[in-house]
Amino acid sequence: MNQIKFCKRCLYGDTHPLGLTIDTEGVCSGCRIHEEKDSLDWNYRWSKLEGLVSQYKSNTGKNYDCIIPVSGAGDSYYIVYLAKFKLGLNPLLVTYNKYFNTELGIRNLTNLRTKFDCDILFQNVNPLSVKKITRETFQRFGSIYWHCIAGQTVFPVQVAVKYKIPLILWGAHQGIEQTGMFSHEHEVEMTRRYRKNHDLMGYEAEDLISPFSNLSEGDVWQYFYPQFRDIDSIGVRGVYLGNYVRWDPLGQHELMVDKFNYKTTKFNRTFDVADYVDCYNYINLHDYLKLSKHGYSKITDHATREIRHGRITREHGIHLVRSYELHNPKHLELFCDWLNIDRQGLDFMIKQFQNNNFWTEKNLGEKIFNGWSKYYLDNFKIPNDDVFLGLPNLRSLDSNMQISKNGQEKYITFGRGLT
Amino acid sequence: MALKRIIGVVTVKGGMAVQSIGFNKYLPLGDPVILVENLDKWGADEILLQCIDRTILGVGPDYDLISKIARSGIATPLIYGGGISSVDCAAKAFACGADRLVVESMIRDAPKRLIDIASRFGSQSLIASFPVTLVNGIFSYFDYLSRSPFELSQEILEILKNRIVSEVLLIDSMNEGRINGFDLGILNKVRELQLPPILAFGGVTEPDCMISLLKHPDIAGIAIGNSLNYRESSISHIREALNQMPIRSRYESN
Repeated sequence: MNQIKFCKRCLYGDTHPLGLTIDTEGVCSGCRIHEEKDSLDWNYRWSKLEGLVSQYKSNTGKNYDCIIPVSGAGDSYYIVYLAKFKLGLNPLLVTYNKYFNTELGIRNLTNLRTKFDCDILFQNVNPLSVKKITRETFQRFGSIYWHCIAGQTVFPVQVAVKYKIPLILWGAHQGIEQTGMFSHEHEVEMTRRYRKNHDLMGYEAEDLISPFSNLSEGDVWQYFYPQFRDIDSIGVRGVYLGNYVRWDPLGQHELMVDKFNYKTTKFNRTFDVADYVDCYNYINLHDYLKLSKHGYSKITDHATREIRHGRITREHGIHLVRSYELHNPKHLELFCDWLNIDRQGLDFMIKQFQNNNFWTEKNLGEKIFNGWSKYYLDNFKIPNDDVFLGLPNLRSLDSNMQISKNGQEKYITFGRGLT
Repeated sequence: MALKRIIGVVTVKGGMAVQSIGFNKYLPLGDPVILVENLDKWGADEILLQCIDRTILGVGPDYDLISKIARSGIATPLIYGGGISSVDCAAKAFACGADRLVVESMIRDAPKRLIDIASRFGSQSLIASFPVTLVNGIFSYFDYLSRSPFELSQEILEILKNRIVSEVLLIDSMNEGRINGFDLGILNKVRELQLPPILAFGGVTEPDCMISLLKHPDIAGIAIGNSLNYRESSISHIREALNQMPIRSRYESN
């Protein structure tokens, strides 16, 4: 652990799974690229975006101008808002059924398509395949979320090829926002390489099939990426709006709550209330697995984000991370029930993926956390002031809805209808 | 006329593929094996894997990485650079799966070893790398480790004239990692040296720059790094833009 270098501005270490470089001044690549948010001419960049999308507008008005991947959370509202109201585009929304759906997420998604008056396509992969895939990815590399990310990132491309709609609009590029992988001026677009390397942790669908796994091609073909020749023949491009718009997720969520009645909820593992409200597992089991494997979790991402936006100090961020990151994940019984495993089996699997660099054995089978947050500052003192002072609207955003009505927590199945 | 080549470059530092900008700013990219596999799928004519910290760390070539890439089953010839300091290093790098080697520090520090490597493996297996600067008309070879200019000795010039190395990787240090374009003035400065065929690298991002380079009689190929990562099927798009140039036609990638 002593060999990990930390950025002196934010909370990231150089073992970040996306890759992080730290310069001679001790500042990380993510913070350096974040500086562009306050130095670039965003009016100019917006005009570039307008020029870019103009070539994709349908002349007849009888086809979609672009595809927008959406869910009941995240940046979906803001992306559709920019596309429809600011760029004047006619988008086709596409969404992938994650299976871990909250009622709040379903509500937000329904509200999205009705408020913005958009057509939408749903991808529902059969539950048997999804569960088989989840067992395989959980066992092989400790991910319960592979199918979600694989589906969310491939379905839009498949639709683009099938329906011959070349332009896909994404929000922010995760590599840019977190670790400064590219400059905004590089105008990086969606690539299969990035998807395989980072989104899918090095495993495309084809890589899951082996003589030693329970998966066959019949279980994973829905996640196959289209051939390059098909993508090239249509001219499919995935453009990140974050390269042309000063991206600020918290500010954007505040706007979407205000204008379009996006709903948020409280989480026990982070102070953010707007991200991932559509999923029982993202901020819970999936996040806890991230902590196990990488020594940090989503609260560190959220705190780093707010430090970079100048709304909290690094000390505030450390205090928030230490306050939240070891809270137990919730809704584990739901997951066990869905995947048909028992709680002991789940706990066993989680322990298998506790990285020895970040977990120290205390007693037989018991490990204590020794991750990033243990090493941020010597002589750290908890700040006296209100850590949320720089986030005045955060409190007004939280708790305006629960993720399930009447506390009855269960995964909501798409298309089941009324029971 | 021999076709000219498009070489995809993967720069590695600390075991991670990075974008290198001006030899002092590095942005993370990811797993070098996946980047190389991708360039193979996209149809690069050759792939240059340059591990830029091996010499300064004194750890020799990254044999593990070469082996991993070779085992991934790529069909594209692999050029490896980084930490090559002896005939034994070269032999092991070839055994691990490299098809050609690019050397830089050895040229300055032990040029005679180049002759030994060429004797054993053939000149076609060797490329000499020279970062150069051209500022206000003043041209110099640039040692990026010490960040200072150096003179080409007579010994090095003889090695180049006698074609001990088959090609020279000429790096425009001022434009390395940037989108400004390779400075063609550099090629005029080196003409008198009668160098082996040149691979141009550094700022090679825009089609106009590529066309100007490919038209130059001394250029055997262009090496492109950072910008290949900015969009899908980059090499196909480049080939389309350069379809009047003497390069291999569009590759049907998978």
